Amino acid sequence: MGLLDNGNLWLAAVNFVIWTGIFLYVLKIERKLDQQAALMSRSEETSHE
Amino acid sequence: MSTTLRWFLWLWISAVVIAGSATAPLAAGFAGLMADAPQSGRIVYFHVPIALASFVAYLVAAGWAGMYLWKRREEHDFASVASVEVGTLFCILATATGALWSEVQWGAYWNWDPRQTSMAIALLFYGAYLSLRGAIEDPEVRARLSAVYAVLGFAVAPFLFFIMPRLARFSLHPKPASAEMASDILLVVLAGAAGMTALFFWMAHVRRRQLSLLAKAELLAD
Repeated sequence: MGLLDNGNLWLAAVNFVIWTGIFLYVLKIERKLDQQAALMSRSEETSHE
Repeated sequence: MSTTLRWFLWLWISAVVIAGSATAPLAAGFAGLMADAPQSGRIVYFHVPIALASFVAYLVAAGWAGMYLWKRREEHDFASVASVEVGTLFCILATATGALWSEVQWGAYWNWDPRQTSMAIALLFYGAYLSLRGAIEDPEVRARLSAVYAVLGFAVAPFLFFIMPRLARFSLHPKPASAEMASDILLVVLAGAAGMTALFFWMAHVRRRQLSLLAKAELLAD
C-alpha cells in the first residue's frame, strides 16, 4: 500500500502531529519542574543562611 | 534522561507512527476479518504497543511498591504511584483504540469479549488503587497500604493481560501478535512496543519528580 493511497498520508500527518504535541507537552512539563526544583533549592539555601 | 535521548525517542516513535500509519504492510493475518475496511488493521501498530507498555507499567509499579515495603523510602512510593498513573493512562488508550477497531469490525464498541473484559477489570483494579490512595490522608499509611495493593500487580497484571483472555473458549479478538503476524509487521509492532515502553518510563519519571517536588513544597510550607 503506497504512502499516498487511501488517505494514508493524512493519517500519518495527523498521527505525527498528535505524537509531536504529546512529546512537546511532556518536555514542557519537565522544563517547568526543572525551574521549580531550582527555585526550591535556592529558597532552601536562603532559609539555611 | 538526557536531551539527546529524549529527541531520539521522538525520532523513534515518529518513525513507528509514519510506518504504522502509511508505509508498513497491512496485517495480512487478519485479511478475512478486515475485508470491508482493510486500513483499520493499522490500529495494530498502536493498540498492541500501548497495551504492552501498560502491562510493563503495572509490573514496574509492583516492583517499586516492593522496594517501598522493603526500604520504606518515600521516593519508591512516588515511583510506584507514578507508574500506576501512567500505566492506567496507557491502559485506557489501549481499551479505547481496541473499542474503535471493535466498532469497525464487530459492529459495536463493546462486546464483552474476554480481552475487553479483562482490560475492564484491570482498569477497575487500578482505579480502586487510585481511589484507595485518595481516601487516606496520612502519607505513611497511604504509602504502606497502596504498596501492598500494588505488589498484587505481580500476579494480577499477568493474569489479566495474558492468562484470563486465553482461558475463554471463544474470543473475537485476533490471536496475540507473534502467532499470526508476518515478520515485517511484527518488527514495526515490536519497535512500537519499545518506543511506548520508553515513553512510559519517561512520563513516569516526570510524574515521580512532580510528586517529589510537591511533597518537598509541603514540607517547606510547614
